[in-house]
Amino acid sequence: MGILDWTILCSTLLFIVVYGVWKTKGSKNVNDYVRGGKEAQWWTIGLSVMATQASAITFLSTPGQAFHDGMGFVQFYFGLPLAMIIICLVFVPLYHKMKVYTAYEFLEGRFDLKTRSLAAILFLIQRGLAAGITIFAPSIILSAVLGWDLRTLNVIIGTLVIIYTVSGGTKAVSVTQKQQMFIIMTGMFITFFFILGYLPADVTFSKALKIAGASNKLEILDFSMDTKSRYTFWSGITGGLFLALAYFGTDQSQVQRYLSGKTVRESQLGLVFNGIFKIPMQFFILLVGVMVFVFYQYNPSPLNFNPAATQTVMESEFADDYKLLQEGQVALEAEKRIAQNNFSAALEIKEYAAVKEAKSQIIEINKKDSINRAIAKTIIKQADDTAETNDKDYVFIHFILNNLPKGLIGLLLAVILSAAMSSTASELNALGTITALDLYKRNHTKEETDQHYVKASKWFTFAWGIVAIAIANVANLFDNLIQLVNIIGSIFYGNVLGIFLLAFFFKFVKGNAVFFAAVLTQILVCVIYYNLIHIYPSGEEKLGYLWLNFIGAALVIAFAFIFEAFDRMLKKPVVMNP
Amino acid sequence: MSEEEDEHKAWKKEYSIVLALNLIYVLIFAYIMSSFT
Repeated sequence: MGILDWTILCSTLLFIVVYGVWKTKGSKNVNDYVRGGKEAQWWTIGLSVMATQASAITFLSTPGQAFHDGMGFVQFYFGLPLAMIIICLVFVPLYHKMKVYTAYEFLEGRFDLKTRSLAAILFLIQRGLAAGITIFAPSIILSAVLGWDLRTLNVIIGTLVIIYTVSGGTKAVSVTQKQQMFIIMTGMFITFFFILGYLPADVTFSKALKIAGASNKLEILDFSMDTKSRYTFWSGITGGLFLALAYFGTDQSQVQRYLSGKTVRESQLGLVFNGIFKIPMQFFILLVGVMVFVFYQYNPSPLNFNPAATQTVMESEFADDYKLLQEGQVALEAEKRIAQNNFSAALEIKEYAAVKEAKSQIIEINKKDSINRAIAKTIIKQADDTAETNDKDYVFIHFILNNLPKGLIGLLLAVILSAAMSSTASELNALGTITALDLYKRNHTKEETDQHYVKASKWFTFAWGIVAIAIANVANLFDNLIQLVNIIGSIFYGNVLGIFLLAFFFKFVKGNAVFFAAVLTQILVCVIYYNLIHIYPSGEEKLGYLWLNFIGAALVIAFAFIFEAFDRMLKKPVVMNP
Repeated sequence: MSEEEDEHKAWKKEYSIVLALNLIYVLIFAYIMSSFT
């Protein structure tokens, strides 16, 4: 990284922090601090919702996902537009009608205080851990490739977010997310055009797509009913809908974004904005990854993109084996270039028999390439059993650092850190709000001024910021913590979504039935998780953890029905026969 | 026509746009798949 990169990176991040603080100074009351004064317009809400969901990992991992497995991942988002419509029709009008500050406050109006507190506590556990990981995930990757100190990076990202989130609350989060989304999309578009410029002169965009297609990277839609395939059209429509409903409808880090809307309509339009632009955005990020793949068809690439893994093996007794494999890979890459040139030439003269032959040659080379990469992973594991061999997260950052011009590297690093900051800001904002309003204010018996609760919200936001940095700093002590956080999320999400579905659609179910159903469900989900997932080695589990979302929601609804029926039976006056 | 009915109609239009656009995206994806693979 040169001086120009450092200047662009530091000035971009400082600008965001200073702008966030300056633009939102002096929140007078809880409405200002928690709901941004309810002044947000639809485009602010739309961008804020998108920026909250898109974390640094979105921009680091997604291109790598396309590089290795193609563009099928976009199907994961197919349920999201439907979820946006359902939330606009059912959730938003009710939240606005009841004038709530938090999603869980609605539960008290519909059920009772104990159900509200239970949902709030489940949220704090899950989101508190996730906030730490949102900081940790990009830090571990950037520290591995840039040699920066992991803990210092955690503290820097966390501190920058704390400054403007504590100072300006929801409004600061929204206004900075607009700048962050602008920086993120500008950076990604510039990179995309740079990649196209780096391809050989005769490889046009259309030809680049054909090259990607020949290696099966454009298999976007999969209509098979195969439950073992992670991403299919059907799993996207059903599972994606379910997850998006839980995340956008009941997670305070998202609900708080659209509760800041001026009117019901502004909030709804903000979500419509997300429903329209989310899939094209994810498609574009995946397309960037596919173009990186095409770029590496003509340029040398490492056997494993994680530099720390390569260093580990090179310093071990397996270094010679690895070097031998690297030599084989260099020869294979030369073959690959010739095959791609043949394919390109055949396309040019529209000689379809030659196109077919070149294509089968490319497929054959790709198979050998995959085998080489798999062997490389095995050797790395032999050298160090704890080394991270999955290099998906490192593909894009490797490309950025080794190929983009000075200045643009700084901008792309600003993109990644901006994405980390935008997600973390929403999470801290929501955690502070829930602690201050759902737990502290609701259980505080003494009459206090609005100013007191603004101060309390600020202190709780600050405290959660420190907790998030602390979690990020101990995160590397655990194996695969990101997956652990996803599992913890799945353990709680289904239950909370079930409670909200009961609140919206089953008017006859009352507070007591829901509370005891939720407690019982949470215990059962933990038992199911332990007996079918936790005790089995990774890859041999008896149940995919994503199913816990569905099981949690189904169980809480079923138990609530049963408890409500019992409750009514017990309360029914006994009629004596004459 | 009441204000509420007007708003309801406008909303039907906006939800239809979301669904129609996303259907178009899927068709574009199918076109890309069939043309470039």
